[in-house]
Amino acid sequence: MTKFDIQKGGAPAPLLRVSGLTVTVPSPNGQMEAVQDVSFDIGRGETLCIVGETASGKSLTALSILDLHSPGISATGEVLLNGHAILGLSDRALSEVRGRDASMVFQESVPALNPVQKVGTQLIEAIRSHRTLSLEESRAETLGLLASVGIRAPEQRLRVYAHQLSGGMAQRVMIAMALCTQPSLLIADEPTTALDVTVQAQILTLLRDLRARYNLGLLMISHDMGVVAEMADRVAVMFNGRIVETGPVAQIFDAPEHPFTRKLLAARQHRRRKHKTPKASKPIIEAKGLIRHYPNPRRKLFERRGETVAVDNVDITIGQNEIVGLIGESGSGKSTIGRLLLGLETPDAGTVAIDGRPMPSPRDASWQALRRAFQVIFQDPHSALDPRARVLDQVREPLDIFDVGAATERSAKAAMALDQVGLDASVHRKFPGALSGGQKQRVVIARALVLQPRFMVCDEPVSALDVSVGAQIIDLIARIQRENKMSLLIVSHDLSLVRTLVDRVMVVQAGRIVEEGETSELFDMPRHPYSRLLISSVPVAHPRERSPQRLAAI
Amino acid sequence: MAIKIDSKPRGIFETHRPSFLVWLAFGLLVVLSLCGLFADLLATNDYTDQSLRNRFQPPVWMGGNWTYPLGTDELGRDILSRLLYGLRISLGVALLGTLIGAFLGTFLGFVAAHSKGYVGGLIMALVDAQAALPFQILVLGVLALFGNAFWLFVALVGLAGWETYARLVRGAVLAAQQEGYVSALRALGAGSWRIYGKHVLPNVANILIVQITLNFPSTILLETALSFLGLGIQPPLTSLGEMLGSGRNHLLLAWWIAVIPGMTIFIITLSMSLVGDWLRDALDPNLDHR
Amino acid sequence: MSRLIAMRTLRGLLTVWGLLTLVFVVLRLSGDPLDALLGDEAPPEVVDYYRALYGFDQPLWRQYFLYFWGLFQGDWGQSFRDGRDALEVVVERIPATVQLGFTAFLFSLALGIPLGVLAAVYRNTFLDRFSMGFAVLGFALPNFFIGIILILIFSMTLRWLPSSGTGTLAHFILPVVTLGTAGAGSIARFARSSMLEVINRPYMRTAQAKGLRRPRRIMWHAVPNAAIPIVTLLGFRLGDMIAGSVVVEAVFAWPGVGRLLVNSVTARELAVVQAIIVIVTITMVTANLLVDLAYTWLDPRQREGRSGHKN
Repeated sequence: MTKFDIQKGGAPAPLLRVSGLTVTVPSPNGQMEAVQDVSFDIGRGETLCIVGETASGKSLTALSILDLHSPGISATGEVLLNGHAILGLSDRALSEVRGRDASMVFQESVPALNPVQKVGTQLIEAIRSHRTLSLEESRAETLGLLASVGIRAPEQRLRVYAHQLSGGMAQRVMIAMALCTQPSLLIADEPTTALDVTVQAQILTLLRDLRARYNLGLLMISHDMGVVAEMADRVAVMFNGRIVETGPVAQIFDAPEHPFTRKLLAARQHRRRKHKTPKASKPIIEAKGLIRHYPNPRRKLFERRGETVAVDNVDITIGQNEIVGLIGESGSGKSTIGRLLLGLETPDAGTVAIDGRPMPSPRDASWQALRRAFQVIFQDPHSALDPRARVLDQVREPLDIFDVGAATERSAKAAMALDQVGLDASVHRKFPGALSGGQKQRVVIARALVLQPRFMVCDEPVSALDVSVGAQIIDLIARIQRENKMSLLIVSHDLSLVRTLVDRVMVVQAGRIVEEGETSELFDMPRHPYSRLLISSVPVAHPRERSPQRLAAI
Repeated sequence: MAIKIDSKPRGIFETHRPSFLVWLAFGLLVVLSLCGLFADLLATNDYTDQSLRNRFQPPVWMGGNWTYPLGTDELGRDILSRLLYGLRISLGVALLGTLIGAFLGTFLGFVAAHSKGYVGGLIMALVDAQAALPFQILVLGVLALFGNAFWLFVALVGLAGWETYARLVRGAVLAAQQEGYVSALRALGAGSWRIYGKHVLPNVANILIVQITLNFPSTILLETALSFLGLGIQPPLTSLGEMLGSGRNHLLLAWWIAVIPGMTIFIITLSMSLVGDWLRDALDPNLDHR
Repeated sequence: MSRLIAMRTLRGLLTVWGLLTLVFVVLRLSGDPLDALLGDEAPPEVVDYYRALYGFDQPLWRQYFLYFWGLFQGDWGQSFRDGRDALEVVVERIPATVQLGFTAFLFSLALGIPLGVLAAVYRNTFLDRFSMGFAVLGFALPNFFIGIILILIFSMTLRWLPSSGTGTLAHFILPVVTLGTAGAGSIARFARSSMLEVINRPYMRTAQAKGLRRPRRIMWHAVPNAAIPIVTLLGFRLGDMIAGSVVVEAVFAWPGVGRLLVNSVTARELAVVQAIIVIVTITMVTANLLVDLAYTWLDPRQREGRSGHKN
């Protein structure tokens, strides 16, 4: 079953050929085939993106190429890398191939570096494992490498430890380390997923640059169709351990065949949801001049502690029935702003007015009423639920806390809330461990709804979920907002998501709101330089939108 | 997801089948505990009864007779009866001591985790101080000062482990406070008591139980070591360590006086360790201690 | 970094001070301290003389000050058995205990660490099960029982090794093995679990992907990281070793501080007991300080000055 692909400008023999790859993993119910009969080729200088959701088997497939599996996981089939058969080799034989023929970069780069060794030492070790260079030569080489991945002042970076690097910097180091042995193929497993969107854009640009310079083959694993649109020559879509569709990238985007491929593409479309922008009315929340800072950890014994400003003079208004979005990167303070509006934190300066009256303090009588009316859902549904309590009990709990209605009614109300989020009675008695991520987030939403709040803050509501699941949750949130006539504050770093849902958006940078405006206006014509940077960093929606000018701007 | 994880937490006897060894350990512990509990019913002789004529009688399988199935010691006392009473005292003291330590430690651990101010710091400083000095030495010091009284001894044994529990519980509660569902509940408006009682405590209870079983051997070893040195349980009361202590001087003539109680101690601590390990693996599978 | 050292040293000093104060308080609580220090048979004139000498007729706070002053000056009370200085009595026994303890400590390290590391590397093989079985045994067997069994076998039955006293190298063997075995067992268990944790970390996979061979990955990437928590264990091991030497010295009639402690407790020689407690405290606190420093040095993540409680 040899598939011959004519590569663009390359020899007919593929750089990587995978045939009939099957990976078996141990599971509570015995052995399970997480990857089933997967076959694909990559030619020299070609980029293949494998895209799929969690548990699609894409990472396991990537690990098979250099046989990096943990003991207990076995891979069968054929993997030919530069003509070498990989599976079944001894560790000693594999250590020749790894790094020399192909290298790998992983999702989170700071944990992927040895924490007790200097970064420079690890780089030198990589070089000397495959090339015969003296120590001096290796050191010079590492400086050159770090410069080529865009790290300024490389001499200093050699002496630092992994935990002192930012995510983007660490990823650059990892890429440098992967390329220092001059491989023909680079395998990247979700290399930008853990990074901020602007940093992601930089890293993708870097990869494109390196790929062109060294004629690198690139196997990229992703769950993000935007990244695929930016990077891929060809695409393989994986679902449940199998490749369900494959082809050139333009074809996949223009004429997807498999229903799953279509689902992935649909989740990313900028389809504006049905929502009537409310007329201006009296605002529910009016915040003026909010300031919040945190003291820095003490470094020296008697040093005066400096402060980090998390929120710097922020004004926000949220009206009845309005959906407002706060977009920004990690550490921008957007979550803190949300907490301040809810009253979960007290600002160091500034005021928050609810319905024209000042925010009550926890000791006031109206505090209870506030807590009932203002709810929040957080990012991680997996830890937001007590693993030892049943679903219905957890949804009912807010009613118990506030002693709402008769005890008998509460379970009924909880059931109704679950019904509203699309979960039927079969989940009532289950424990959270039995639910999927999407289901858990629905439970969390139901729990927030049961008190019938007027205002809800959704802090990164779908970041921990697969894209298709996340799209469903967003639809759910939109529907609930319509049905219950709530005001919403959506806090997110995912610009595409925010764009489809909110009426008004505010861009947060370093604790300040640098621009605000009506959604389509702001996204089409951002004015502030940071907004421009942010919006242009978002991966394109279709490969035809790639342009060198756009890349150069970043 | 291809495979769905099962709905409810099943009983641990299903998810983590205890091996034969663990069952055996379990069984031995139960048998020994019952022996200690019903010592007065099972003992054939009075354990303080001296009979100089019958000194150093060997156990039954070495040529002795059935009146003294495990032989006699240097004062002619029946070893089997002494073993049974010694079991009762050793197990009883260890149990009592462990419970005292566990309660005290858990309570202080909660307080330390909950209080934001200097109370927490004070308690942890005490924990540090306790860990800084080997407790046995401290006990010896106190015994030197006050002489030896039974209940003083039990109280000291009880204090032996408290800092482990305090540190453990404090850590677990602090970790639980960081858990997503706790902050979510706080945002919902739940008060601290509710959160601790309904949500934190059940999750901490598992760790506590594991720690109790892991600490128990240390407690028994503390009591027996001190009794061995002659500074713990005093005659006419007997404990396993006390028997070992007096038996040490007669190894040449009558090794069974020391070896029999010693083996018993060993069986208890070994069984407890095996059960504790199994329990830890079963209750907290996140810790990969396999 | 210097802040860390300063904080830890301060804490250590506070612990020592706290314990000494505790001793002072408890001593005063138990009635007339002179009774305890001089024994029952001292004639009244002697009692009065010492009362004045030690200042027990002074107000309490003054006594407290004098107590510490005396400690600094090296006046730690007297053993009333032979009238000698309590400090002197203790100090002359220290070498024997240190010899035994240090050797046993090395023994437990030399046995425990390789066993634990190999058990982790060859997990679930016979070597692993054997090592862990050995470790559990070492932990469960009381050290006095191990000593007795060893004496029975090697001294009394086989007559290879002496069962008590000191003098030759042969005298060292049984006590060192007895004292070190429990430690070896717990070090092996801990080393194994530390290694297992480290082996599954992402950076081990990076090392693998780089093309490093297994021995190099274990030696250069796994072990240095696994060693860090082991170092903290060593501090506790020292305390156990000191406690253990009390018993082991009794079993083997080893003329060290442990044996002295037991005898003094029985004879209610409070000055000697107090002196021993003070010395042990200072030793433990210093050892823990050294462990803390070693930990900071080994783990670059700790050097940023995150002080205070980590657990």
